[in-house]
Amino acid sequence: MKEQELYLLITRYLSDQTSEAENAWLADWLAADKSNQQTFEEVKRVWQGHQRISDEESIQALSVLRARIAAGEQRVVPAKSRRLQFYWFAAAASLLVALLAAWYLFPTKSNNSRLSYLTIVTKPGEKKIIRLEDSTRIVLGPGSQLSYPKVFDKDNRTVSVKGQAYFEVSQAPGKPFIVQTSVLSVQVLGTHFNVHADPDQPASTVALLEGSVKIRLEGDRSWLLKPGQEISVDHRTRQAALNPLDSATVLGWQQNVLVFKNEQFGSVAPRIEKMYGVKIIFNNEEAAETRLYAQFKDEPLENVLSAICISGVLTYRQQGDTIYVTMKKSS
Amino acid sequence: MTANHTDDLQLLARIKVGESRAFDLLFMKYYPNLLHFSRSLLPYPSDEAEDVVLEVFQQFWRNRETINIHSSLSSFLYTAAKNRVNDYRRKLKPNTSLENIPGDIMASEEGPDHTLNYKEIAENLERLIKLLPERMQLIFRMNREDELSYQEIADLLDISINSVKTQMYRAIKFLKETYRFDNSIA
Repeated sequence: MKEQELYLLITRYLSDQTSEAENAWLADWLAADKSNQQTFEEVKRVWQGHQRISDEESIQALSVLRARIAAGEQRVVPAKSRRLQFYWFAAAASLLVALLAAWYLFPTKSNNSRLSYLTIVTKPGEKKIIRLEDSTRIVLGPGSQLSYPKVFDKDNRTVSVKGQAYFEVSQAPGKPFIVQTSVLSVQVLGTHFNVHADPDQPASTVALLEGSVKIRLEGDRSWLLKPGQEISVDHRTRQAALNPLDSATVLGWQQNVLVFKNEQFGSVAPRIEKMYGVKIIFNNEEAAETRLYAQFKDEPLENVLSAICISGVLTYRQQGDTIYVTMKKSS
Repeated sequence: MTANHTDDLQLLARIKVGESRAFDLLFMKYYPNLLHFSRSLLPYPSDEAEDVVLEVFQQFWRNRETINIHSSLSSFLYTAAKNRVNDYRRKLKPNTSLENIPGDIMASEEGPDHTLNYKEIAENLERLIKLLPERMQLIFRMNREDELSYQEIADLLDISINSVKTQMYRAIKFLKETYRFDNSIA
């Protein structure tokens, strides 16, 4: 038998596509010589060892597909049975949105004086779980603040957030759930989402993993965000930009995940400070400009800092809640 | 039935009752290879291949309740993609691409349990597969990953069954030799 037929026979055998006669032939061939077994094993290894590996591109494409399907269903479903279009999302189980916004620009909205607001605050390094009267569940991240009415208004459910929070919004037809900041408001057309608002960030960001949200900016600008997209609004210029989202960066805080993608130490320091409740001080500019490329999951602060410093150029020293970082002078 | 076909049938059953998670899994499984396949049929460069594949899945979801698959799910998806590419080429309005269903593919008994941890080997092999010429890579993946028969691949790509076999043989030979070489120096 030619080598070509032999190799193909082995792969067909491994895919259970051979006849009895072919199996018998293969058994005889294997028994005939040790080197035949060797050949068989080598072909088997490349054949069975191979596994399909899915990639980022597929995930992006899936987001586009979901949006198209949602849009298509929206078009064909009459307004009366709007609930149908949520069937897809409900099955998909979660709508995840991340929002970053600046607190210092964020006024406490109390445009409805009939409502009395409650405010919950977390310390750096602390998380709290809150359940609202409509059974919406909120995980409030470290160093954050949430304001919500004791009793919701009858036509909407509006809350405001500083810092980070993860929302699982209970469905209430005719009573949209709205998250407000000074630069934008998010109307949730689904179930689960995540909010992050931070005074140290230069922009407000809403990132959508699944489902649908409507972003409204001042001046009546609004966007319907597609899954897999992230919208950033610059606090200074008020320019909006759409980007693909990065789920590890967006949602990582919930599992105490830090992701640094070639970012300057100085620009990621606020995230470390929030997560661990510390203050980071750079002893020289070079230290703050050092670029980091790393990912940490639920690591103690010591491990994060020593991993950052292990690359050799930086040293750190901790004094209480303050971390001093220094760039080693090359002598 | 091979393990893969059994998985696909389970996915299909879940998709039919509207479980979008199962649909996502199906998408993640077949999207990359269907995209390569569609690209191979369309003039380069073309953005239409992405659209073709997304439309195949979109229509699949829309018709999930009535879809009737007589062959394998993979063969069904490839055929749908090919029909849709042909629609594009004829510049016709795409319509009933999912109607045309290929015949039964070779069915056999339940395969052996392949549950060993091949992760490392898989990663090494994936790297090597990417070194294969594009056409050879496509054929290898259609046969190995999507379990299309030589005949089905020949029909889908409009080439002879012998050239499918030759390409498969060369791919396996390359992987086998290169993998052995890589590991003898490691």
